[in-house]
Amino acid sequence: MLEQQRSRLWTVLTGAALLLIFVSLWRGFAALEYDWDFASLSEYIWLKEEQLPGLLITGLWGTLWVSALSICLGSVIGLCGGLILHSGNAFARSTIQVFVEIFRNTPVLVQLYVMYFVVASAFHMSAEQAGVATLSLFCGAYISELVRGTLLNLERGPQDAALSLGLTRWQTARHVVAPLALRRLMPSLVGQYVSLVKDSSLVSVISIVELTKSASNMVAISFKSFEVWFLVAVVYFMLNFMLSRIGQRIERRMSGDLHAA
Amino acid sequence: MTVAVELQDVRKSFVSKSSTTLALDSVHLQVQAGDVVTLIGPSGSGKSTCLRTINGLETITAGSIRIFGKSYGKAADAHILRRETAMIFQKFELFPHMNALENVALAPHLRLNMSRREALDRAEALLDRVGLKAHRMKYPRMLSGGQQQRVSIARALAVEPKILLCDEPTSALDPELVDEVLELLKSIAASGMTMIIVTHEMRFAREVSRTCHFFDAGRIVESGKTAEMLNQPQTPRLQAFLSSLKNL
Repeated sequence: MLEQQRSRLWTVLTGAALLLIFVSLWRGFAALEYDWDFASLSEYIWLKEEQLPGLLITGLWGTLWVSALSICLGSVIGLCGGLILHSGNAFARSTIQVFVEIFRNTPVLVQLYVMYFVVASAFHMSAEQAGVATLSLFCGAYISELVRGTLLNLERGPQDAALSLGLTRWQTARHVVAPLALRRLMPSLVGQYVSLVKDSSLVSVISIVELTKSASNMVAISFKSFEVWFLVAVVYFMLNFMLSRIGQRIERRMSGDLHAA
Repeated sequence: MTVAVELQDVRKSFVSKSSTTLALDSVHLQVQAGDVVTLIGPSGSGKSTCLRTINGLETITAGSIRIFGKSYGKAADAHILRRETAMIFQKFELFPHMNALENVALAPHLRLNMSRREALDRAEALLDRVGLKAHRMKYPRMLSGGQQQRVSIARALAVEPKILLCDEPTSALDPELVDEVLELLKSIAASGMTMIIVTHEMRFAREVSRTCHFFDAGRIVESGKTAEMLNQPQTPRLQAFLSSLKNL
């Protein structure tokens, strides 16, 4: 088959599939005879009388700070964990390994419950502290593995060159290993951050006010579950889409010098 | 004459779970200051490993290495003794995230306590010397293999080494790019630099070095004047090695 013919076939197939999906969705919603009313959601965005942000905005703010804090703490945990996994002594390494395995092989939801009901009670932590701690550790466990893998696969050559020129191990790490490793790490790191923002919706179960929790409240008050969840999905999407785009930007800027031919 | 490098009974074994490989087996080597020495031999014979032990990139299992009379102590101090040497690698190993100028300026800036400005000035002068001044702002990816190797030579010279170690400097180059690198190395040799060169280019070995050592299976099997060795090899193994090269 010619390349052109094959490409045309794919266009036709994809078009047909899209049409099919669109038609069935249309028919399904038409059969509901639901009266979409997005306008009534405006009071959840901004309270005109009180001049205060509505539920949606306070929720979004919650998601933002919980995610940002967990990303920062998680990155620090991940960096330290990864460095220890890569070059710590055997005991430290196995300790980190156990931590990583625990957090990677249990559901975040269960981790949140354990942290909130068990650990937080023992140490008098607030729900917010428990939630951020769980997300940070969860994120840190994954980043530890990412850092370890990146360092393991980093080519030895430039490091040897730096050492052979008489740089100390620390100078080599700072000027050669770190910049190269960070460039390699960026794509998977951004993926991890995006997935953390999504997972932050789970802290709603321990009554932290964030986007998903606010949405439940909005539904409870207004009974407009269709509109609310639809809107919330769009907000999450925009948030993460922006995050990936910023990540791609940084990535491209950092690796421009590596790939430009 | 002062002795620049002295290896005494150096042994190096790589231990894996299934086996122990003896990469260097009782190697004795002495290089006088100002000498140019070539190490030849088949792949895997230990010549590159030998070179890497000299600047401490490989630790040794037994024996001693002295550089101007000083030997390597703790691994953490390796960078101090390394300051006498600099190395050129088969695959150049430039820092991919820095342009040519930064590649050359990094070590002088960090190691010789030069200001950034001074280091960049020195780098520019050295890139001029290797004929790459026009390419100083380019990143390694934008340079040909020969150009990359010349940058790496400039980078090595930038730390003012007393000994230049060259690990198969032309093996990774396209044939038409080999000469520009060899000519440069010859001019450095002519300037009186002490050099130890691992090479597969017999013609180059003959032109650049007075002394030559032939490695086979981790040992130095034959040593002598380069021209004599290559014209009249004494040991059967060197004879076999040289005739295998001629068949290529």
